[in-house]
Formats: sequence, C-alpha cells, structure tokens
Amino acid sequence: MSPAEGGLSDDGAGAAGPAERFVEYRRTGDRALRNRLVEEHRHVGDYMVRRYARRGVPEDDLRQISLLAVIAAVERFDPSLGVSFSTFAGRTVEGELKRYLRDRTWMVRPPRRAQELHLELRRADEELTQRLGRSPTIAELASAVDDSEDHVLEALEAGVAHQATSLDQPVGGADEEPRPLAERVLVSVEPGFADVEARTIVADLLEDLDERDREVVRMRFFENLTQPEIAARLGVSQSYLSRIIRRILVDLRDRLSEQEREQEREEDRRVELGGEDSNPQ
Amino acid sequence: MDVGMDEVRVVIPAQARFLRIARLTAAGVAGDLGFDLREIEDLRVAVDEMCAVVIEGAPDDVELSLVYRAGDGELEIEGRCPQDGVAPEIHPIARELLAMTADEHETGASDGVRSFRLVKRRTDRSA
Repeated sequence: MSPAEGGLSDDGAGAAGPAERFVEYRRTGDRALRNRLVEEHRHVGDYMVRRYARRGVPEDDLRQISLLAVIAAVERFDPSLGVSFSTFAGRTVEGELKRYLRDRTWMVRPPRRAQELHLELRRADEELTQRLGRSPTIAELASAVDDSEDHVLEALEAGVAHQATSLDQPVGGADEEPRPLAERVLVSVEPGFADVEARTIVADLLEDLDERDREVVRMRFFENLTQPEIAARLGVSQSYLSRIIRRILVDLRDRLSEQEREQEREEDRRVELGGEDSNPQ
Repeated sequence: MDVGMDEVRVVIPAQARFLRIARLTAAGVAGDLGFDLREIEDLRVAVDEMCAVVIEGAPDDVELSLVYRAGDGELEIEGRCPQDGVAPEIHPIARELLAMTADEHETGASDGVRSFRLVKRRTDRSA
C-alpha cells in the first residue's frame, strides 16, 4: 500500500481511492475529473481564506487565489510523495495567499515572479545536473522548484534582464553572494529567518507601519542606504533617525512575537476542533 | 506559427497536453501588449479553460486552430475545433474561473465546428 492511501480523511467521496484518481488525472489530463477533484477539495482553500481574511484584503480576491491554488495543487499533486492531498493543497493555497499578501505590501511593482523563479531554476539546474549526470528536463525542473512547467518555460525566457525594483531582486556587493533584498531585511530584523515564509511574515508586519516608517525601512534595509544618507533625504538629524529605526525594529519584534502567539493559539483551536487534516507523517 | 502585424495564428493537436502551447502563446502576445503579470496569469487560465471546453472528446487526429488578435489595450482569442455540432457545456468550476479571469467569453457550435471567443483587456495604468 502506498503511503498516500494510508487512512487519510482526504476525500471520503472517492470510492475508487483518492490516490488513484489523482494518478489518473495526471495520466489523462481529463478535465471533467479535474473539476470533480477541485469541487471536492475546495473546502481546503476556503479554510485558508478564513484564516487570512482579516488582513484588510477583499475576501473575493482571496477566494479567487484560493480556487486557482487548489487547481494548481490538483495539477501537481503526486500521491507517491506520501502526504495527503489536503495537506499538499493547504500548503499550496497558503503559499499563494502569502505571496499575494506580500505583493500587496509595497507600493513598488510586485516582485517579478518569473525573475524570482529564474534564480531558483539556476540553482535547481546545477543541483540536478550534478545529481543526474545530465541536463534536467523541464518536468524535472518544475518538480524541483515546485511550480508548473509553463512557469518554468517562461522563467527560462525571462532571464535576469529585468530591472524593476522588487523585494526579490538580488543585491550584494562584488564579494558577496547575491541575496534577495527581502532576505536582508530579515537578517537585520531576525537572524535565522531566511525563508520565503518568514519574508512574508515580515512583509505583513511592515504593511502596518505608517508611510514614513516603511520608507525608512525600505531605504535602510532594502536599498542599504547609510543612516546619514537617509537622514539627508528625510531632512532629519542622524541621531533622530537612529531613534526612529530603533523604535521601528522594537515594534516589529513585539508584533512578530504577538503574531506568533496568535498563530499558536489558532493552531491549538484547530487541533481542538479536530482539524480535517492531521499530518499523516 | 505565422506572425502577422496584429495577429498570431497557431494550430495544435486538439489534445490536453498541447494546451500549454496555447497558454504560452497567449502569455507571449499579452506580454507584448503590456499586460501585467496578474493579467497574464488570468489570461492563461481563461485560454486553458476555453480550449479545454472545445476540444473535449475530440479524436486524436483533430486540430485546434487559434487566432490571437491584438486590439487597442485588449487581446481577443478565437479557437475552432472540428467536432460534432453540439454546443459545448461549461462546467461550473470552469465557469467560475472564466468569470474571474476573462472580460468576455462565449462558446458556440455550428457546421460541425466547436468554437470559442475570449477577450481580455489590459488595465489602464495611466491614471
């Protein structure tokens, strides 16, 4: 028995076994089957929408993103990996919602998805080439970066020519490994938080800052301007600016802690309610 | 593929696995027209759904002909697939997707050909 068949509350409606139906969809691309699978599982997305709905974003937008993410999850789900579809879809929806919320955080252009992916692909290409002893296929690359083959093809096309300012545009001096701008903020705010999820959390926190504070954070940590440079731009003294920055960082830390506590409480409530999606592993 | 001034024509086998070409062409043409990433993502979903409707049940040797027509701030896409003359039915999930991703969409069937027409408009960013 494959691990994916192991007694999950995945979809009780599937008489033929949920895993087989996903396998069949991957094999045939049968649209009617996809639509049934999406209908049966969109409640996973609805749960995530409720979880993220309180952030001042139109709920309709979140529902749309959630539906698209459930569809993407159906497209990409591989039962042989041993997680339930609900778990996989939940993560996919959550990732998309966070990405959306992150993109709304700044007044600059949203991060270039293709450009971001292009960088991931370069890393994946190197790893896979080493591991496989040959150049990877598009399908292998897509699987490695957990994205669709369409996006991989587009990202290969995108290259690194774009110059739009974005949180994910890599920066770094000649002697440094290029890192996404947003990661620098994280390193400054909370060492060790260097993944996308953490970046998103920080982006959420920054959204609540007033416009000037946010501008200060952007200049200091995203553009890497010096304090004298920022002070000059804002027309304030350097010592005053220094106090502003300290206050912002303390405030961000406090709210990060509060958010974590809130998340823990939410997880506890979810467990108490007997969440439909206990981890099979 | 034949590239004209304002029109791109693509013919692909009427099978699900070739719809990627339809999506990528849409994305490429829309990118040229200045559509933003979100609009292109929407367009890609809409094209996929419409194509899937008209090719459903098509035999292996049938082709799907697509015309991508660039207009003033909009992209119109038409698809034609020789199939029996029954008007294609759109599943509620597909309808929901189309409602949120396309500005206009319609399907039809006549003379043994199933067809669709789809319009996506670019957001005016001059304001």
